[in-house]
Amino acid sequence: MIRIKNVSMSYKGAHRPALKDINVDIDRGEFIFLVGPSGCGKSTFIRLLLRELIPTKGDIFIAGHDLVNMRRWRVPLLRRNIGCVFQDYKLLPNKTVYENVAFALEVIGRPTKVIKAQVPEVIRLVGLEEKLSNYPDELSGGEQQRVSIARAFANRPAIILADEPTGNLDPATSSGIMSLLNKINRTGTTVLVATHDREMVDSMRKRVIALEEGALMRDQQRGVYGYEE
Amino acid sequence: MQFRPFYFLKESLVSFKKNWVISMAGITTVALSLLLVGAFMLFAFAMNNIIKSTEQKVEVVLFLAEGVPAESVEALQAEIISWEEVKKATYVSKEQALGRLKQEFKESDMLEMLEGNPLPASLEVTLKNPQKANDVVDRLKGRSEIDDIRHDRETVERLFQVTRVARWFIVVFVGLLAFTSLVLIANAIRLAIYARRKEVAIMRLVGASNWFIRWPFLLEGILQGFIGGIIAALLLYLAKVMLIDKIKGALVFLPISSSPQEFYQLIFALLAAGMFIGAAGSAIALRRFLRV
Repeated sequence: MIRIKNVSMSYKGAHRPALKDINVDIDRGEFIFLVGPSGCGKSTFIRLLLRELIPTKGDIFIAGHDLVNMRRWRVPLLRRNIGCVFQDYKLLPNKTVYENVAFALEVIGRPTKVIKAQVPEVIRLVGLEEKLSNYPDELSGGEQQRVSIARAFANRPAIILADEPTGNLDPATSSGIMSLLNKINRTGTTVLVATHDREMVDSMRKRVIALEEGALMRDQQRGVYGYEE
Repeated sequence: MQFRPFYFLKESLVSFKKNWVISMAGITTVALSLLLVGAFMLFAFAMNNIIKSTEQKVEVVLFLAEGVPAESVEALQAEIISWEEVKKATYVSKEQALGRLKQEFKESDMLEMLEGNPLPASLEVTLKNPQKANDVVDRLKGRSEIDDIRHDRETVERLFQVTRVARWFIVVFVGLLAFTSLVLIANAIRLAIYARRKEVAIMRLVGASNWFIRWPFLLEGILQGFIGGIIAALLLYLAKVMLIDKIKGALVFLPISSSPQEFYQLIFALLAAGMFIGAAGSAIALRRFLRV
């Protein structure tokens, strides 16, 4: 599904690379935690997968597509197959829950009929069917993150990337979000979660990829967070 | 890529309403520059008509002195015709001259004040090659039969000169104005992009195609240019109806009539130019501020 081969990434003007010679293979349907201290390269890792950045060295393939040599106009097509969840939710404040999720399908040109069928379904999946016409500022942080997950999943992407999805949430709410991501994973979707959340990683016992100063330190099935801070 | 005109148009109208004050700046300068171009074009059309009809007329007119006997006039006429540059030389008597004038001014009462016949008899000389007019005039200068020589070529050349200077002036001025409108429209679009940066970020994230993101902004710029063009066309139409048509009525002897067809072509060209400026302005903004 995702193949990262000898990837290094240096930003212009920075004296040390953000990522150094990373090799990772991820299969369809895996659930992966990407862990490591701040500045270890987690965000760079995610931005490379979204093709917001192009690696300075190495190759990245997603579902057979070569991201390094990808034409610019094909990038949107790649992103339709990757759902994104962020720490700050990135919801549109002037749109309701329904509209926020529908917007993601509208702008990629899905027919109205499909939108009308799919949006309520995915909102039900995240458990917000009671809040369809609420605005984001009327929701709790956890609920907003659920909307954002619903939006990411609405187009049924093969991959969900979540960058610190529980960074702003308390532990109880966080575990709700994680079990939601786990539920989505069980539908066959590959899920990659970048996180700081030690307890979460330790309790879920999924594959853990640990980065430190841009280098891959550990890639372990049923792993734990593993850093002493 | 899917093109959904109504969706894009709706998006650009919403955005246009949101920052209409800034949009007005772009629209105004587009209107102003197109108005200038249009006014100059009307002026140039009129000039062209004057030049054309002057050229079709006689190139050199010899006004004969009073009391020159008929045989010396005939001799002069024969001599001029014998010159190789000359196509023909026609004698116009005092009476014929007055008759023509009356014909030209039949709609006005200006001639009622006229006593007697102040018009001289003349020889109208048509040349094979109008460029040679100066040679002919030089040769005829100082002849006792001739009181005065009118040489329309000079008028034509002066008109050409005026239009040439005016053209350069207008080109530079309109160029500056067009540049200003371009910058102002680009700025309005930049603000529109800024106002919607969150939506744009999400559109990119979920994989909206690049043109899907660009279209509403491009349309917004084109819309601004188009509105500017409409304003310019309206003002020009008013100017034509209220000014030029009136002047034409008053100065019947000036052939400044421009055909309605020319006018509508001009209007059409102005609208197209407005849309082009708008598209170019938003394209600049899209390139600089919307890296999709």
